[in-house]
Amino acid sequence: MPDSLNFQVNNQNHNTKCDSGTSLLSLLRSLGYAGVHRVCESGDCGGCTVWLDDQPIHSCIYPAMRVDSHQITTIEGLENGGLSPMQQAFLDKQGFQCGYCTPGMIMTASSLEYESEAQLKAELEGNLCRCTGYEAIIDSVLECGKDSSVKSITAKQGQVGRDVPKQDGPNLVTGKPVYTADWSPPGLLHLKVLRSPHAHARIRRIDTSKAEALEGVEAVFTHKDITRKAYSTAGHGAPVPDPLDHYLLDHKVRFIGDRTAAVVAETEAIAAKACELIEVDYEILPQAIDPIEAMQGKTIIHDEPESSQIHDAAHNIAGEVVLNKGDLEAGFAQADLIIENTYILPAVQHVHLEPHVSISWFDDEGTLVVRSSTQVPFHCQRLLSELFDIPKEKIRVYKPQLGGGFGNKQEILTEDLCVLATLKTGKPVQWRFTREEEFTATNSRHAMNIRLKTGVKQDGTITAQEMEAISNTGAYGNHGETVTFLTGCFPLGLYRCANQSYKGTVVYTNTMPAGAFRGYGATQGTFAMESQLDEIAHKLNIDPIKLRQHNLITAEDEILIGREEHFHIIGSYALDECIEKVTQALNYDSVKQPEEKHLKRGVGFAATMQASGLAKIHLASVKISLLPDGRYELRTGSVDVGTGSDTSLRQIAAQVLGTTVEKIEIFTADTHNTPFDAGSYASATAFITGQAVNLAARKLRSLLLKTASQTIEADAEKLELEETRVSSPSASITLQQLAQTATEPLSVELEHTSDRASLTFAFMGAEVEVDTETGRITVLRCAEAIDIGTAINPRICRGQATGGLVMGLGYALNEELRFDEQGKILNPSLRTYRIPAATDVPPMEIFLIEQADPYGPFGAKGIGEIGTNCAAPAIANAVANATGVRLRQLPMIPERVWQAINN
Amino acid sequence: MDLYSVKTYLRPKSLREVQNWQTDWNWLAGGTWIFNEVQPQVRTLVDMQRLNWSEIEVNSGGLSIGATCIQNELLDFSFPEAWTATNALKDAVRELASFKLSHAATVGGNLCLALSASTFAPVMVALNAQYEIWQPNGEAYAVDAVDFQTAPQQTILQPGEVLRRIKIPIGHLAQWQTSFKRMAVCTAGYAIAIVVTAYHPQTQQVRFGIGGSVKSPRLIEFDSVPTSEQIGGVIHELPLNIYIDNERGGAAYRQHLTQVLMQRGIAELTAGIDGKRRY
Repeated sequence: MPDSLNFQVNNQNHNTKCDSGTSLLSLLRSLGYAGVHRVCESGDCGGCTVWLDDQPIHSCIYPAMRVDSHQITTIEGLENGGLSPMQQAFLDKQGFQCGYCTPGMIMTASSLEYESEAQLKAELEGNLCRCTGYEAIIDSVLECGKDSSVKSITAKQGQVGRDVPKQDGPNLVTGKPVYTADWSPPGLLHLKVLRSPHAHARIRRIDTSKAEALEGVEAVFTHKDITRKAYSTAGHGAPVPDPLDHYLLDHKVRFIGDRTAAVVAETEAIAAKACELIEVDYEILPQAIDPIEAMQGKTIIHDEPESSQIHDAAHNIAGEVVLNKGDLEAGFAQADLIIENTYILPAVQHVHLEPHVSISWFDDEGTLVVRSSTQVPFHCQRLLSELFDIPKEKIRVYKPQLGGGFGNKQEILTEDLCVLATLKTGKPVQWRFTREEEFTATNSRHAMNIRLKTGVKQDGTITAQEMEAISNTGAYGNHGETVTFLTGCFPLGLYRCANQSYKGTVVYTNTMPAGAFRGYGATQGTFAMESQLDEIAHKLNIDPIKLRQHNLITAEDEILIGREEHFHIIGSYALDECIEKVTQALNYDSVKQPEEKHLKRGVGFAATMQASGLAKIHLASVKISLLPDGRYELRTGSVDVGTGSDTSLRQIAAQVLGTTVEKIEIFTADTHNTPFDAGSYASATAFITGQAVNLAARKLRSLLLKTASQTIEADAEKLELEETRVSSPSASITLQQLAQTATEPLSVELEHTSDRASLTFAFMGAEVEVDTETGRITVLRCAEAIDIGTAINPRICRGQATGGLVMGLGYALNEELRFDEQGKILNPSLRTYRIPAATDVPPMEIFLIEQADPYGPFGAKGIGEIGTNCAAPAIANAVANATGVRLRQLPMIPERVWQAINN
Repeated sequence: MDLYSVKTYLRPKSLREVQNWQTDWNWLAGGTWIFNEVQPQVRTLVDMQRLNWSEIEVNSGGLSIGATCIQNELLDFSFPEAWTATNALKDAVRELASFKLSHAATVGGNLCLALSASTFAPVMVALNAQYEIWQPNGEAYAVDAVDFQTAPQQTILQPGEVLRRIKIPIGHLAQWQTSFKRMAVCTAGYAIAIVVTAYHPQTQQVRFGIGGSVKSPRLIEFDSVPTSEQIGGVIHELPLNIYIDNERGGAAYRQHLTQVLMQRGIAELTAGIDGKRRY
């Protein structure tokens, strides 16, 4: 080991040694500066920004060996424990969601000089955020130094419908060690896996002896060390709908990046080195990269007898969805125009900034504890229990603060091998994914080819629609069928048409698996549907908005495709108002063309719908109690992925109990300390867990009034629950007294599923400028209206809308996992897989249209996913409007646009 | 990221201390590239910081930039006012990536990596720079910027050889107006075409430094301001196989972009318009 390094961090002296190739990021984290976040490790995202002698740098690409005699400042040292003006501004304007980019963003913004908002956005090129869509971040930086003290919201004002600050804000803007990897038990071992270099191969022989002999290696595991048991990595409730086709470790590998063997060692470096020493003799099998080819069944990806729930393994078909309504043939016979096209959607990656990470160990009572960055702790607990044959109560799974998920953490990807290693070694084990692993060995959005055929009458009435999706699920079938179901169900369901059919085929290929991703299949189907409607409008010379208005479902309609009765129901409906707001905002009749001949402008629109949670099966349980100190405690198994749901849920409870969010302590997502919740997915938390909280709070309220009426001998009817007391015109008792004198616990626990899932609707418009010489599309502005029911916390809802919209911009314009012919991903880093940066974000007008839903808490509906769906079709429609050229493949990168224009 | 395979870290104060260059050694200038990817083949890093090769010198012959000059130093440096072409150097810094990278990245590092997306290479070609290269035995030789790179990530440098400084002749600094134009698949990220245009208003000479789109940087010169047709003519005389053809961009598209950026660059310079750097 080289000479020791002397340097200062936040004015504190350090004298330490490190390995020669260590990055400054790792050195700082090893010293406990957890606010320096590990995200891209390639110098592209700025999550690890620190100051080196007052100059901001990306510490992940700075050699630690150079730090000698320098002074480093991290977020922890920015204001000596207080809040700097920039930190205060980020709190005031809530310039964060999950908070993982926040320390880096603040360290950068604090040392920026800029003259305009445009320049500020450009200077933030090296700081990526995946949650906010940047709007709140830019507002925060612009606000810095201005006096904008935020007043707290009183109980009298009510809590629902108010911009109550996200309660985790102070932790996030100061870089507190709140995420999974920021804490670990002593004696931690590190796990790494050897990943397959082949797309499809059988392991003939595997020799781990050299790896095991390396100093610091604790254990090496291969398929020979495990009990072969098929499962799905998808985090679904039992009985799981997915194919059971995945194994802890297998004798076969099915994509480049699949697990071959696992090493547990004292450090990540040793584990990585040991992986290189494992000798594997692979029998290379024919591979199927393209789904159409895969369906021919020339090579079978899941030929093992232990796998089950596979639709047609011989043809690599993981699942199939068929939905029908009416008489398709008759419908097409009525049509004056029939249009048919195929739309091509790429695999894209979630890019949650915090990678997957889990830590497992045994606590003093012998309980297996799993600390993990997961959206589904309870499903994870159940799966681990099944996999390792351990009673559920002997496994505790909990999640600390999450740094984003977007569906990719509705998967059990790291917990399984971590637990295997802890069971085999008896020691604490951590497994953290690198950014490259995130890109190559987790999940993507399903790549799809969607063929859509629509028949219309001259007046624009849709008479028949036939949709067929080939959905690439990759090497494993997790989420395949459920995602592909929504591809047809929502886009077709949105339009009133008597004759519709949908067939979705979920196909295995030797590529990285696809999984859950915000929008869950509806995003892909929406692109096809909303693009084709514009094509029809163009052909019939009908205004595309009018064509939609003519065919959209109304509040009176039922969505019946493929079923006798449907649990996706129209609770509240304000889509008409959404359309009105967006078309007004974009003023779309009067687009001004620029003087330059090569620049063309146009506008385009798209509509979508997405359900609020899963009816009947998404179970949420909550427990709410009055504590002896007069405060409340809310326990829920739900997961705040970074959105702010922990705050929204407390707003609901506080509103019912006549108190404030600050008076409600919340415990979440811990299988041993909170009641069951299915988890955070399917836009469910506000609608289902929120309703559970609402119902429980109302019961508690009644219980408090009843108990108080007995204690102070007053008529319960005349009592009122106030912030600190229960009182009647003649008597009162403080909540403290009430709690302390009660003979039974003042606590309510209940569980809730919803019989229906109310649909949220949205409408979006975009104005674009196309450079016809280069093919570059610039989005000049956009407007989106979301039919939200009730916004429990408008600012949080707006954050979901802007974040979703910008994620949709990336899907439309930039993002695509590019594969070579062998199925290898060519762009597994944030340098080559670009997500939108601040400068890519146009002005956005967001309208939250509030018309209370009869089934949601205080009328609220889901908003987590819907914002993403419309961006790509709205932009494609705008490009067609500007240039006359129709793009049916995403992303609409300049080269494709240029080719389309020149064909 | 952590480079697990690196076992040795050398910090020579002079080149004489660097003896017996091994194939698994690697120069470390700013580190912003080498730490951005897994480097399984590298066992030893040779940190160049203490060589003190970071000077920026203005002399009678022109400008000399030390290989390890931190890129941002160029933004703050006061060049002689007449040296209008130094704007191209500043543009190369601004277009590298985040300003936080150019706090650490070096000019020489950018050139020696020879990535097709190098922002400095086409600038150096347009400004007719020469590179001074030191051999392990201490002898030096010079090479024209346009001859330095032979293919993507390949230069004429032999093992142990090192770029010492870049010299830009005064005749290519004074009076020349420059424009920097680049195109990437997204608004940021690796460029797929870069055109640096240098234009002398008195002589009407035009030099295009082409990067990004081609396997190694190229120079296209005109004695007078070319028309769009003339630019198109020259572009189409060059074979398509000089362009990179990969998942980021096909050769025909890169060829087309190169032509468009040349046309826009010279049109703006002759019209006195300060146009966009990025498309």
